[in-house]
Amino acid sequence: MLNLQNVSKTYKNGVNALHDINLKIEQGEFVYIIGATGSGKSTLIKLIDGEEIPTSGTVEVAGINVGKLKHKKVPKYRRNIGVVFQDYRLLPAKTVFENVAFALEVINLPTLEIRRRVREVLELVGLEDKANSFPHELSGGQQQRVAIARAIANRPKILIADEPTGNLDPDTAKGILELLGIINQEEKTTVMMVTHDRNIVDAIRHRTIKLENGFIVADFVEGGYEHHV
Amino acid sequence: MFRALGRHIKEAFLGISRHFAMSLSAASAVTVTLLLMSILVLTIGNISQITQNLQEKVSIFVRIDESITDTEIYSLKNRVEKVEGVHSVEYSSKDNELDRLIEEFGEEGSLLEVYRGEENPLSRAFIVEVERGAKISEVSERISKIYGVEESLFGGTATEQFVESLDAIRIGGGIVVIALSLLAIFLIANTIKITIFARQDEIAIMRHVGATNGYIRTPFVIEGIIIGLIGAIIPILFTIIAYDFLYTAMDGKLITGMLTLLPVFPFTLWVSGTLVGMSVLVGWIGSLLSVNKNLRWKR
Repeated sequence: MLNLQNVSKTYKNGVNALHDINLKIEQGEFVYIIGATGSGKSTLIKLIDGEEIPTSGTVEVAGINVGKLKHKKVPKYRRNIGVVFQDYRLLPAKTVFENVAFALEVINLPTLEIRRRVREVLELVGLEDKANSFPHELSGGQQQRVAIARAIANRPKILIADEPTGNLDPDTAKGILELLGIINQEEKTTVMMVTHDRNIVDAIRHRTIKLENGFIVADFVEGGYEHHV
Repeated sequence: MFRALGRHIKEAFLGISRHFAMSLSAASAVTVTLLLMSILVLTIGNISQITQNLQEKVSIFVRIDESITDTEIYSLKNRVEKVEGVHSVEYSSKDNELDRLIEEFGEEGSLLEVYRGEENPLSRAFIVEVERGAKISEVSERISKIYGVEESLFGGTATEQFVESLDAIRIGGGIVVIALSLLAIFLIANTIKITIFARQDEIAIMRHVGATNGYIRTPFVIEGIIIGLIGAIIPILFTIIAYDFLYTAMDGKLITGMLTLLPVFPFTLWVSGTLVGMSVLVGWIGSLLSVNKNLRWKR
């Protein structure tokens, strides 16, 4: 599903973000990426969604060599990836329904199909009764659910969640984690969650990869934070 | 494809309404540009018509010296024909000249019949037509220097100046229109830039969910074209109404019956078509400039 071989990334300003990373994630896996700020997590995400090109090595996602991808092909490739951010990034002037539908409109789906799929994902994230609300009328947790609904609406193969619980209280965060688990199970989506949250990583165990100064320093299939601290 | 077009057009109108003042000022720039262009094209269209008329009607009258014998006339005609800028030369005998004079005098002309024959005081002449109306005085000057030519006359410098000033209008107007077009393009590009910045969040999300670059750009380009088209409305109405009014008021003629104006239709429709094309072009270039500058995406 996702295969990084000897990947290094050095930015133009000389910052070395990643060193010789080798990482394999199988279809349907749930993986935590943990590490301090500046450990290379963001760069890893950018390499996977095609925003950055590796300085050396190959990044392969769903059989596609992302680094070698032609500029024009990046948009289509991105339809394989759903991204959720810490700050939700919903459009304030659009309703919940419209926010989710937007992701399907821009890839040119027929209107009827869009409606059906939006209902479906809103049901999945438990917000079917909030379809006509605006983002500011929702709690943080609800907004993040909308963002997740938007990210999975076009059935991506992999869902990248960049600190999705960073702004949420522990209980709400657990709810989001459960939702990601359901998506992982029901939609068979590979989930890659970048997080700082030690409590979550310890409480809900999944394979955990730790980055430090651009190196993978730990990769535990049984998960948990305490093994390598 | 069409589904997306509908969304793009909706998005474009939304952009215009969101920055109505900006869009309006950009559209007014297009309006001013196109108004001037309309006047210019209407003028130029009629100029070419009039210059053609003039070139057909303005000729040089070359009076032949009395000392030239009738047998020498042929070689003299040859020499006049070889002068640069001469289109055609026609010989007119004394009798011929008298006929013309009689015709010009109309009813009283018959009194001149007494001069026919040996007593004819008129000169033999060549009627010379020139290739370009603007060059008429130079050609006349050259002909007057030929041996055997008594004098070379043409319709006066007024005609020539008229033709020359029309050329100046054409060039000057063209420069003004180009300058104004650039201003309109700049204003449209600026308006589009504002729309792009207002939609930056949306654009970022579009990129994340895999919208193609073309999809992201299209509504902005449509917005530019719509602004251009809005700017074309008044100039088109002006073209048709004002020209029709002018044409009727002047009875289709300019100064004398010799210079006819182009009929209102289909001429104004052609001009309107040009204006629409120009407005689309200006809107398209303006928005494309802005999109290329502000929506560029690299990795």
